[in-house]
Amino acid sequence: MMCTCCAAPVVVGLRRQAASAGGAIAFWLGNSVLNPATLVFMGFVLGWRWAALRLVLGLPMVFGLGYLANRMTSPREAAQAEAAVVALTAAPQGAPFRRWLVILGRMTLRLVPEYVVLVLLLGAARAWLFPTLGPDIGNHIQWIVAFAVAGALFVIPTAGEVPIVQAMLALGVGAGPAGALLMTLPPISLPSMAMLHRSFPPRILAAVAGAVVLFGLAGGALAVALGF
Amino acid sequence: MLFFAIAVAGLAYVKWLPYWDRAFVAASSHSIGQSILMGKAAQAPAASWDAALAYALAYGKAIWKAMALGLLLGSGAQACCPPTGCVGCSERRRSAARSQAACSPCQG
Repeated sequence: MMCTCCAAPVVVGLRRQAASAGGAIAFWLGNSVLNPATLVFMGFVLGWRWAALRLVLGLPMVFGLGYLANRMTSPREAAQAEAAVVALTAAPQGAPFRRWLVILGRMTLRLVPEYVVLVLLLGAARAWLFPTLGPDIGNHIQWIVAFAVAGALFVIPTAGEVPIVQAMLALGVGAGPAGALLMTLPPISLPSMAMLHRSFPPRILAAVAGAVVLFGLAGGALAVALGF
Repeated sequence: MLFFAIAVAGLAYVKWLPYWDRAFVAASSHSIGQSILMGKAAQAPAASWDAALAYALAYGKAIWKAMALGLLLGSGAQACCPPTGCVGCSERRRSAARSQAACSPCQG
């Protein structure tokens, strides 16, 4: 039920404990894409067909990309993960509460500063990522692609996509770009991918980002085809 | 136990209770607030220090409690979950929500 950036530290922790790449990716994406509260808000604000579209594409996104990440894990990485588990189990544990505080401090220092910088940069770059909204932005493929990519980079709070899509539709933007944003705004963002760059091999993160954009294109295409 | 208690209490305070209320607002007013991207305007503010700060503040206000909880749970998972438990359950079931739940609670 968390947004992509707030779920990221939990994913870092799970990966440190040698959780599988696929399970961690599914947890990360599912937190935002399949958030039941967001789906309920979406149903009431945008209409239940938008919530259904998100659920129908969100399920294969979360489980399909989790499966893909596990398939992409090489035998060598799997062996390294197993060795890490042995080392973790053998490592002296110490007082758990103190250990927790130490890890919390280290994690905060490592993740939060770069996160703040990236949020500031994206906040400034809003006008470059998103064009002036209006009826000129129809269901052309280039707009759907542009919004899918911008949505994958930009960072929003939980359920932030609901009022964004509502405002776009009210200003006369086509359903295609709106459907693309609906699928790519929540699951990933530049800051959350930066937080996870030490937790996954780069090719897995790149594949997940590329696949999320493809799901955005599918969302746009379906919204147009179904006459939303 | 402590990790488990913080996870449940934190999620209830940061997520479940406010969202419960917000669902009724959404049902009655068909809106859950303004777009964080550009409010009611058709265009986002031009790139500037002000645009950066305004967005970071609006965004930070919306997420800071959840981020604090995320850091607590992420570090707690490292400090308290036995690693084999996490691996075992995430291998068995891909659903990560379950894999988190199956991490045995902190013994400390």
